[in-house]
Amino acid sequence: MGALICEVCGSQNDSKKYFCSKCGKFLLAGDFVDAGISGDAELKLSRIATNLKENPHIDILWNDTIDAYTRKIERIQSLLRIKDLEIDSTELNEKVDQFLNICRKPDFEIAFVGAVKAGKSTLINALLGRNYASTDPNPETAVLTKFRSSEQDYIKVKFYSAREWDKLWKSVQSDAERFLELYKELEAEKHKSKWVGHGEMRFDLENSEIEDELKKWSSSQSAVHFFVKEIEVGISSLPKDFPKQVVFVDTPGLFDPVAFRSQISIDYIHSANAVLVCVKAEDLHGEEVKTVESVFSFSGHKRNKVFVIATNWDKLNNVIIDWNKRYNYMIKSFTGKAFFPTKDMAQSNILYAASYHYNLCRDYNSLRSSQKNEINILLMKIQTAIEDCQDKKVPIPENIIALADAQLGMLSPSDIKGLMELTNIQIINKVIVTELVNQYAELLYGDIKNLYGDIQHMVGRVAGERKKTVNERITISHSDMKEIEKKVEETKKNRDEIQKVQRQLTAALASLNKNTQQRLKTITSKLG
Amino acid sequence: MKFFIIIGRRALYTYEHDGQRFESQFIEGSKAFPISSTNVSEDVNAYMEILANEKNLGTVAKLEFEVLEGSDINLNKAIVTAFGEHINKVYSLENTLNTVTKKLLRDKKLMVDTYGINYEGCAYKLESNTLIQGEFDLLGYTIHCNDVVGLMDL
Repeated sequence: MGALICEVCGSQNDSKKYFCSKCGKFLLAGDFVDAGISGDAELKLSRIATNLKENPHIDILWNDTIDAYTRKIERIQSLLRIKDLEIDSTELNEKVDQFLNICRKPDFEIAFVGAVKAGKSTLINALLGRNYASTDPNPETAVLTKFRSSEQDYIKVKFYSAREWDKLWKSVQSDAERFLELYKELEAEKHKSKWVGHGEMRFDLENSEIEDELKKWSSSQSAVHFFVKEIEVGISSLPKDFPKQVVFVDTPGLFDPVAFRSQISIDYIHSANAVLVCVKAEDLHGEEVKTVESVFSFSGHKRNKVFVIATNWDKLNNVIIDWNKRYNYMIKSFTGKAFFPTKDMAQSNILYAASYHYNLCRDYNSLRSSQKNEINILLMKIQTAIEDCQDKKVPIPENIIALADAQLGMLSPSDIKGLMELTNIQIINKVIVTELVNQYAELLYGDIKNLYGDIQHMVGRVAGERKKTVNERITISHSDMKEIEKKVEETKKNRDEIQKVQRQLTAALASLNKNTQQRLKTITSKLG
Repeated sequence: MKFFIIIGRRALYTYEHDGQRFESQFIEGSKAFPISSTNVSEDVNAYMEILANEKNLGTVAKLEFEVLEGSDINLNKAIVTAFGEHINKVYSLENTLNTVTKKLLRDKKLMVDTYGINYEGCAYKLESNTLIQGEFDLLGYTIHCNDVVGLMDL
């Protein structure tokens, strides 16, 4: 298509321009027959062009290039909203929404899964750097809870809708006696009408208030927890190296007797970017294996996103020899068709953790004597294991041998540091939170670029279809015009014919009248 | 000393009446003084200190403000609380934009009756005398703080 020449200043403009780049005049005025319509089009196009520069933008802080991409897509989103353009493309709108959601909230979700009391919440507290999630002896995490980094500390509570509650209630299975007992004990039915269908609530808090507020909504000892679908906790004081886009999702028990609730956990396993299955190191039997098997089946083909965390490592009799045996057993059990596809993957994705003791060491200076004693007990266990290994000539890892000379009851800061390293929390943090997240950022960048390309392609197609529709309408209106003109011609012709006949009739009538008058005159004169 | 402030999405815009009209004021070289939603109180105090300093008042005690709210209710509340006794009057955004829209409706060429107005990233349209807020409309007539100040009944 050739360049557009401005009718006012004569300068050449790109064929895609609407306004002259030199004098700003509307370049398409000549396309319109009606000056009023032309003026209307000029005003609207001018306004769109001006407003596009002021289109609201939500800054994407984690990547400047993505921020630039997002600005363009936001403009496309605003253009699609213009009713006058009559663009009806659900697919394109959905793609645009998907693109903006991923850019604005590039969350890396890590789901923590496992049987009840497997140590998920303790592990989360260790990775978060503070005891936010409740770890009370009674089964506590009955509500799906998300933890994320935030500028302001807050808790957001979402409730089941009436429809969801109905489904949940119908999914209560025959082995849910404890659920029903507790429901009755806490008189939860009295609170149901208040909370089911309640709008989302948000509480901005001080950091120190998070634990209590969270307990209020999620504790199995509070009646309201039955009606809470999901809680989100925003924390402002996470460790500096905690990636902003990581979200820890603490799920209720995978085999919850309330099938609707366990389905929520299953859905998260499916969609999460990584899944940490917590199994007790000291107690690896049928149910633990069943848990791991279930997680793999729910993860689909993304086996590499599953990590098996053997919790309570400190409860093994000999933390070196027993862990070696347990580790090898787990590699063998969890390699194969239904698990990790290769031994190498199993070796890198099976880790142990001693979260409870990590948390104790972290908070060492504020511990009571009984709690410090627990650290001493662990140290004793480690030193006994070292002696045992030396007797049996079993190799001892360096980080363990370093604690051989630590003095019970008189731990130095380097001993505490050594114990913290031994709990393996820092390794888990490094592998999952740092390495996976970096890989994810790269993959995400690729996904966003592909989505952007898809949107560009779809916009081109939609614009082409729209142009075709408009041209068809113009063609139809032109052919309609021709029809009308033809009809007008025919009508005109008919009218001329009628007028001709009318004139002929008038002439004939006049002639008849004249003849009649003459005859009358002749007859009258003959009679006279 | 009296000032008129408009609460924007992430900033305060300051005006002073010179006897004839409201003039935009520059605080630290800019018309917009940034406000962080997580640090409102500190930012407002800093704003008052700077303003008092720039106007050679010696103390913030002499500052008085009238405020036009923004679209974020929580931010409005936090800012008004932070200003405390310095505030003489608060203008509601809804009432103000209602007045502004009605004035703009007089000029049919602006098409405000069909497409409404855009202000601070949102669209506003009068329907049956009620102001309806919506997403930014590319065909809407976009106004800025200076326009609002000129059209308000102050």
